[in-house]
Amino acid sequence: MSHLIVEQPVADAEWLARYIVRKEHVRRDGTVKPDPFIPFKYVELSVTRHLTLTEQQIWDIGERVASQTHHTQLQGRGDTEASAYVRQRLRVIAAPEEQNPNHANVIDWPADKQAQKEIALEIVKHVCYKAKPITTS
Amino acid sequence: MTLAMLESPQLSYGAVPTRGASTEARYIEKQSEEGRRRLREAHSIGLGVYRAFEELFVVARECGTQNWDGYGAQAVQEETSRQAHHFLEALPLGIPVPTVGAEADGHLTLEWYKNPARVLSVSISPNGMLYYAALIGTSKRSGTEPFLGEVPEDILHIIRRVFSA
Repeated sequence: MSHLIVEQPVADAEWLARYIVRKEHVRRDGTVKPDPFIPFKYVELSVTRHLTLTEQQIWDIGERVASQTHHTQLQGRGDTEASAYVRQRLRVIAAPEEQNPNHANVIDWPADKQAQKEIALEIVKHVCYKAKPITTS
Repeated sequence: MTLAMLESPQLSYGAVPTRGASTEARYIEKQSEEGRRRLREAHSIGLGVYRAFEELFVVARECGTQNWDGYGAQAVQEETSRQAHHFLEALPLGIPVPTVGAEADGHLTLEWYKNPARVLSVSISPNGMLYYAALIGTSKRSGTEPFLGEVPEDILHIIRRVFSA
């Protein structure tokens, strides 16, 4: 992907993925808990911009994230438009990394935990969970 | 009658702390624990809590190493797991059983969920602080409380509201 594209500001209508490695973070009805949307450790939340990535490329990045854990495998991803964060008075900024040029950070979170939880509960109302397709691993 | 008894805050899923150290106090504690155990066995309403203890065990174990989420998460400490265990034990019988999760800062979470607009999430820290947030229709509640062996009344009230409509 061209660096010119990934360095562009994140638009409100852009789709962002947050990878999920714990099955407990997905509720029985297929919605996602707020747990994986709590920022840590710099009071920011890592997400991946879909931009022009193919589905396979989005899953490949997820596999790389999950491969850094010891016990768990990629379960799926929570997709949401950047506007879901912006409505909570957060900002999404492009933060390309060598391994993931589409990396972005959700910033401007309040420092206190109870406020973070309140925001995360609102965000997950707009998250669409996609389970990892069986064919990707 | 039985359901009314199960709603009693005097009955919990596990041992509530006793404040007495005398032989009599210990005897009473043992008897009441035995009573609770029998009630749990006798009523399916209490059985779900075993699933929560099991979930807690698995989550605490599998999130007990650094970076368990691939994003740099803090390991869940043994003390956090102990606090969460005590919290589950202290839930009054008749209160719906939560599901268990973990957050990147190493806190364990308990969630009472009816739908995306009626939900309570409680985070438990290793030092026994409870951070909670809830959506109850159009209203929101959040707060921070220390866990001192009994589930704070505020949290019990919110759980009941989540499931009331």
